Amino acid sequence: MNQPAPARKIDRGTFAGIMVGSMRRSLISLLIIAMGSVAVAAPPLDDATFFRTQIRPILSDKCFKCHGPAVQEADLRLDEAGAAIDLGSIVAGEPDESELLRRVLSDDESERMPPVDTGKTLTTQETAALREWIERGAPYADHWAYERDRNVSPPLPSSPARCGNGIDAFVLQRLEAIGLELAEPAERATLIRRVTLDLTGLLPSVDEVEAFVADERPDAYDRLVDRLLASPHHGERQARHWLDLARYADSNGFTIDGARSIWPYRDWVIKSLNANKPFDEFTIEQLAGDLLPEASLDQLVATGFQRNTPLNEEGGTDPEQFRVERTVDRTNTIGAVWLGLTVGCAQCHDHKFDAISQREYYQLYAFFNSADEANLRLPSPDEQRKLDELRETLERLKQEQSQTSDVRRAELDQLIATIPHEATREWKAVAPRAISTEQSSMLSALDDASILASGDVPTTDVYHVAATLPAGKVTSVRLEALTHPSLPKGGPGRAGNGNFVLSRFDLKIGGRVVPLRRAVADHSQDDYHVSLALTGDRSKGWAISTTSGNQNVDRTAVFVLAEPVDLTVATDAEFVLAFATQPSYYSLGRFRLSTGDFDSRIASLPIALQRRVASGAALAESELLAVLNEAETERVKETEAAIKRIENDLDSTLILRQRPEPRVSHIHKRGDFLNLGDEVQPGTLAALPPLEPAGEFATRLDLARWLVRDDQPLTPRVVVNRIWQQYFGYGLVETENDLGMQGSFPTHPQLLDWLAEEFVSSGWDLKHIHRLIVTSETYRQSSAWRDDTFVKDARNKLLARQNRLRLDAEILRDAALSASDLFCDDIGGPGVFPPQPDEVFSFTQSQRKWTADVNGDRYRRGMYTHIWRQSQHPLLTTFDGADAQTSCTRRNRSNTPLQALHLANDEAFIELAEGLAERVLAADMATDVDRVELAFRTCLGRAPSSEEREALLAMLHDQQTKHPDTAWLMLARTLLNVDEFVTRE
Amino acid sequence: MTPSYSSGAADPGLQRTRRQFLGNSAIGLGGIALSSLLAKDAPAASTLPTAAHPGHFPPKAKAVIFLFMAGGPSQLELFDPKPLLGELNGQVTPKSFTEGKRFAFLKPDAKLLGCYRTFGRYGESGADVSSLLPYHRDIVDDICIVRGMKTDVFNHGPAKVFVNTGSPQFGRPSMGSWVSYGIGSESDSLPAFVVLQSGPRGPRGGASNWSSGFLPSVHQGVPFLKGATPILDLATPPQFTADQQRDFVSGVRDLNRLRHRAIGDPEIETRIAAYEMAYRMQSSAPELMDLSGETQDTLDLYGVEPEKPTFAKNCLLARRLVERGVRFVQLYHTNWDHHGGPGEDLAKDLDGRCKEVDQASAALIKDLKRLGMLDDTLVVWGGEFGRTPMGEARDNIGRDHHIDAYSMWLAGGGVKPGLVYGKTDEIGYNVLENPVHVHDLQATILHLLGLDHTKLTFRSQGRDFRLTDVHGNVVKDILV
Repeated sequence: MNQPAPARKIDRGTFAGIMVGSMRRSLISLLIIAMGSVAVAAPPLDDATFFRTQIRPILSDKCFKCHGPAVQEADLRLDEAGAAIDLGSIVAGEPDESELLRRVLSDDESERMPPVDTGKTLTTQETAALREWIERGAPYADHWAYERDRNVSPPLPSSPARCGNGIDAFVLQRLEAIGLELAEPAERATLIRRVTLDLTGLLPSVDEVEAFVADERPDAYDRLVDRLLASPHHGERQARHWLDLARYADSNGFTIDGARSIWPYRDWVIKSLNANKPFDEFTIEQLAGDLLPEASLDQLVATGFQRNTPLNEEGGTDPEQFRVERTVDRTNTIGAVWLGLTVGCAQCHDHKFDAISQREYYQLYAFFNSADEANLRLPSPDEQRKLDELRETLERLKQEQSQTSDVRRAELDQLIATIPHEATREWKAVAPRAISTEQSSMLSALDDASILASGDVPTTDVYHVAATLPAGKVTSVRLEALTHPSLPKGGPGRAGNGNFVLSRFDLKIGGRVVPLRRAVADHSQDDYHVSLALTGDRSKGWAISTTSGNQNVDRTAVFVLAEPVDLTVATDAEFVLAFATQPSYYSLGRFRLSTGDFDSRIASLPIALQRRVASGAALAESELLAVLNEAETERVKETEAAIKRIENDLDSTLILRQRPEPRVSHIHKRGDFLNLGDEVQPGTLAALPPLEPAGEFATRLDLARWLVRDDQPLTPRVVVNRIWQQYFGYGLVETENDLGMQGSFPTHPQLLDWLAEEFVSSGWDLKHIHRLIVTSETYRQSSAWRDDTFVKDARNKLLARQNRLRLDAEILRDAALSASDLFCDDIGGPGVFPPQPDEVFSFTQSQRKWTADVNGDRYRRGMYTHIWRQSQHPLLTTFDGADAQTSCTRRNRSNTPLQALHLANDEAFIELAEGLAERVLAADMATDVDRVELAFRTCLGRAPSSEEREALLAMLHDQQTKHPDTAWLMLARTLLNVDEFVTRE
Repeated sequence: MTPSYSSGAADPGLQRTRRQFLGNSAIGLGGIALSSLLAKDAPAASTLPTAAHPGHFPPKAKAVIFLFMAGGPSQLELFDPKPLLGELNGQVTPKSFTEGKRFAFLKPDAKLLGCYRTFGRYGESGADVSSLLPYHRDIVDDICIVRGMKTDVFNHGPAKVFVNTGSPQFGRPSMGSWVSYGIGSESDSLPAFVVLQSGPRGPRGGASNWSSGFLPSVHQGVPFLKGATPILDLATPPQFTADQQRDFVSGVRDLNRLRHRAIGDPEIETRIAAYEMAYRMQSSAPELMDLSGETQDTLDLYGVEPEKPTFAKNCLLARRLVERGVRFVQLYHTNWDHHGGPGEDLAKDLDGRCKEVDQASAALIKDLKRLGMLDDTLVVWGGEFGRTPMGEARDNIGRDHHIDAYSMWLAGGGVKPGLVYGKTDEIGYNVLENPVHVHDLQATILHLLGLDHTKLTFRSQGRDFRLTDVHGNVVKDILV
C-alpha cells in the first residue's frame, strides 16, 4: 500500500500535543485539522498572520457571542485589541498569570470557558495556541478582508518552468513549503474540454479538439482562450452564474407561484457579460439604473436584479409584511453578492461576530426602502408605431370630447334638425325568400312577414333567413320577437316559459358579413343583455324573462350597422340567428325582421326614444346629448381597449423605480416590522470606506458607487474569489459568501489580494480575470488523483492538481445537447419548455401548464428552461440547481441515485442520446470501430483507451445481436452516463 | 461532495473519501486483470452519504412517520373541547385575548364561535376525542395528545415551511433532510426521506417543505408519485427492455471502473454506488407499491382499496417504507383549511376530512404495534397551526388560522403513551400549562432519533445553522 509520507518535523510546539497514537493516525488527523487553516509546516508565522489564522477563528467562534461586538459579559470584549489587557484578563507575555487562560483550562465546569451550555469546547491545540498568543503579547491584527492595501507582488518562483503567470507564483510558493509540485499538465484533449466547458458550457467538437491537439504554435492555448472568451456562449455561461446570485426565476414563488415576465433582465445580463461591461458599471446599473441621469431602457431593465425576489400572493397576507421581507432580501443580497458579509445577521440584533450594528443594517435597508416595484413594457418598433397611432387617436377623441361647446352644439343642432325627417322614415319588413334551420325545427312564413317555428324543439338551433333587399340605404335591422298561441305560454320563445336566448345575430349582404356595431332592445333580462348577441358566445345572449309582470309579450331589438350600406340595386341578403347551446332548448318561436334607413344615431337610441321620434314627438336636448356622449365614450373605450390589447401582448420586465417621496426608515426591533425603533437615514458600514453621497440625501446610486469604489476592500476580493471558485470548485476563501470574522481564512491571501488588485486596476475587467486564471499553469494541470497530495493536503486546497468537478445541472444538458447535434444555439428570449415528466406538478398547489416545445426551443440550453420557482424542472432540482429563493453564491455538487435515474431514464436525455446515435450513424465512416471512436470523442474529447474501446465494442456487438434497433442508442446512452461525461476533468 | 464544511475534520464526505482511499491502497490495482476487476462486487452502499451512521446518542426511534394535516385542522372540533365557547357563541372576543395579535382574515371585532361537536372520554387515559374521530377512541392509550402547541407564523406556506425547516423563510433544509444528514438511512434501495401526498392538491409551499436547502441534495425528500413507478424517471425508458437496463448499468459501471483505475478519483466510486442503488430502486420501489402481499385483514384495517390513491393507502405505504429501513416518511393530506368559504365549511367539510384520515391514522398505530414496530417508530399527527376560537363572517361556518394554541399528537418511538399534555384556557385561545413550540417539537423529534438539536449543525453563510435556529427544548415530560 502507499505509505504516508514520513513524518515531517513539526516546528511548532503547538502541535506536539496531538502527536499521539499510531504515527499514521496522528499524521492524518494533524493534516485534517490543519487543512482548515494554512499552518501546515509553514515557516514561523508573523504575529499578524498568527493572530488571523490561529487566534481570531477561536475567539470569533467560541468567545465573541458573549464577549464580542454585540455583548460584553463581565465587561470583557475580545474583538478589540488591548481591551482584555486593559481589563486585566490577559497579562501580556504571561500566560500563567492570565485569567483568560486560567478560565479556559479550568477543570471546574462552573467557571470553565466557554460555558458548558454553549456546547462549545476548546481543543488542546486551541488552548495551546491561546497560550502562545499571550506569550507573544496578545497581538491583534485588523481583519484581513477589511485591509484596503492590496498591493503585493508575486514571489519569485523557484521552479520557473511551471510558473505561467502571477497566480502560479503564489500557488507554487505554498506547494513548495510542503514539498509538493504542480501535477503534470493535463492532456491537451482534456484541457480543451475543460476550458470549453468552463468558458462556454459546451463541449468542444471533435474537430476543435483535433485542431488544438495538433496546433504546435506556442500560443495555441492562448488563441483557444481568446476564441472562447469571444464566443457569445461565454456570456451565457457567465450569466447563469450571475443569475444564481440574482435568484432569478420566471415565477413569483411562495404557494401560488404565479408566472412573471423578467427574462429581458436575463437577456441584459448575457448581453452585458458578452460585451465585457466593466463590473463597476455592471453593478451600478443593476442596483441603481433607474437613478442614472437619462436612464436608458437597458439601464432600467438592469434593475430587475432586485426584482427577482419571491412574491407572496397568498390570501390573508399583509402586503406590508411581504414588502418589508423583499426589502430585507434586497439588503441581504447586497451583503452576499458584493460585500461577502452576512449582514442579515444584524436584522434582529447587532452582528455577533462582525462589526455590523443593527442600526447599520437598517441604514443599508433604508436605501432599498424607498424604491417602488414597477413593470416596464418593451414594445418592438412595429408595436411601438401601432401604439403611437392609437394613442394619437385617443388623444384626439378625448380632446373632441372636451371641446363640447361649439362642436357639440353644432352636432346636437344638426341631429335635432333631422328628427322631423326621421319621423317620416319607416321600418321595411323583410319578405323571406328562403328559410332554413341547421337542426330539426320547422320554420314557416306567416302572412304578416313573421316566421313561426314548430316541430321539434332541438337543444339549440341556427336559423337562416334569405331575402332580397330593395335598392336604398340600410343603417339598421329590427328584430321583433313575437308571441303566438302555438308557443309555450304564448312565446315568443320555445323554452317552457316562453323565453329564448339569442346568442348571435348576423347579417350578410351580397354574400359578405356586414359588421354590426350596436344593439338596443326594449327589454333585456338581467345578465342577458341584447348586446351579448353581438359576441357569439353560445352560453350568453339576448333573453327576455322578467322578474315581475307578464314576460310573454312582443319584444323589439334593433341592430345598428357599423357602417351604413347603400344598395344601388336590389341585393340578396341573409339573416342568421343562432341560439344558445347552454342553456339548451332556448330557440325563438316567432319573429319578424325589418330593415331601416334611419340616421345611425337615431337607430342607436333606446327603443322608447325611437318610438317617440317615429311618433313625431319632440325630444329633450339632454336626452339626445346623453346618447351622443355615449357614442363618443364608446369610441374612446374601443380605442383604449385596442391599446390595452397591444400592451398586454408586449414583452415586459420587472424593474425598480425610486419613489418620488422617500419612505421613512426605522430600526425594526428584534427584526419585527411592527415594532419600530429609531428612525435611520440611508448609510453604509463604519468599518468600510465612507459613503460620499452626490446630493443631500444618499440614494441607491450612491450605495452602488460606494460598493465599487477602487478602495472598497471587500467587493473586488469577493468577486475574484467567486470567479476562482468557478474554476477550482472552491474559492481561495472557502466561505465565499462570508469574508467576515466567521469566514475561513484565505488559503492564498496574497494571491487573493493580487487578483483583486488586477481586477480593479484593469478597470474591473471580468474577462481579464477569467483569462488570467484559465491561462495559469495551476488551472491547466491534470486533475488525476494523487496519493501524495492526499496525504499532505486531503482537500487539495493548495492545488497540487486540478479538481474534477461535476457539471452544473444546466451544463449537463448543454453538454448532452452539443454531443447530440440537436443543439439550438439561439441566445436569449423567454423561457422554453423541454420535455419534463407529467408528474412534476402532482405535488404543487396549482397545476402548471407545461407543454413541451417542438423544434428549436425544445433543444435550447438548460439556462433557458422556464423556472417555476416552486416546481423547477427535475434536472435542476436533482443536480443541485440554484433554488431561486435567496441568493445562491455556490452550488453543492452532490452525487446521488436520483441523479443516476435522471440521466439514465429521463425522456429529455434519452432523446439527446438518440440524437448522438443518429449523428454517429450518419457519419461517413466504414466501421463500427470508427463510429464507436467518434461517439467516444464527441462525448469525452479524448480517444478511448484500448480497454475502453473493447468494452464499448463488446457492448455494441452484444446489443446488435440481441436488440439491433437500439444497439447504438444503448451505446450513446451509456456514454452520456459515464462519470467522465458528467464531469469536467 | 459538499464544500460547505468549514473544516476537513467535520466533513463526512472527506471521511468517506479517506475510507475509499485507504481501501484502494490496501487492495491495489496493478496486477488485477480487467475481467476480475469488472467482476468485483459493487462498492458498498456505505460509499453513499445516506448510509446509516450513528447520531449523538443511542436513539429511541429508528424512523419517523409524520402525518401532516395540511391547512390547519381545528383542535376545537377534534381534541380540545371548550364548552364555554358554546355559551359565549356570538359574543365579541374579550379584548384581552386579541390585543396585539395578527390574523390572516379576521377583523378585530370577530365573534366567538361555539363548537357543536360532541366529545367523549376514552381509554384508560380518559382523553377527550371528538365524535368526528371514532377510530381514534381505540388508540388514545397509545398516543400522547399535545394540546399546547404554538407556532410563530400564520400564513399557510410560511407556516408549513416553519414546521418543516424551523424557519418561515423558504430555502432552508427540512427536518427529514436534517435527519438523513444526521444519521443516514437503513435502506440501500430506497431514499432516506420519502414524501407521500393525498387530497385534492399538493400542500402549499410545495417542494420547500422537503427541500434539502443548503444540505447536499442527496438528503432531499423524494416525493413518491401515485402508481407503480413512484419516483420520477424510475421506469426504464420504453425503448429498452429490462435486460438492456441491466446491461446498461453494467456498461456504465465497467467504463467508470476503467476511468477510476486510470485517474483514481474516489468520487467515481460514489457514482458507481449511486448507479447501483438507482438500479436497485427500480425494482424495490415498485415492490414497495405492490400491496398484493398484504392480507385482506390489513387492507381492511386501514380501509385501503389498492387502486385508490388515498391517505389510507399512504399510511400503509408508510409502514412498508419504514419496514424497509426508510428513515423519515412524511404524508401530506390537504384541505384542512376550514374558513367557512365554499368547500371549507367547518360544519360539513371537516367531517369529510376526518373520515378520510381517522381510520387509517388509527390503523397505522395498531398495525405498527402488532408488528412490534411502534416502539421504535415515531408517529406525529398534526398541521401547521390550529384554528381560532372566533368564527369568520363567511357563507358557512369557519375559523381563521390560530398560532397561539392548538393540538397535535405523537405516538411510539419513545413517547409516553396515553398522555394528554398541556392545557389551554377555557376558550382555547392561549396555552395555560406546558406549551410546546414548534421548535420544541423539532428538538424532541431529533432527540428521539438520537440527535442533539443543538449539535446537529451545518455551516452555511458563515454560521452554523440548526433545524431549531437558536431555540427549542426537548419536551422531556412526554418521553418514556
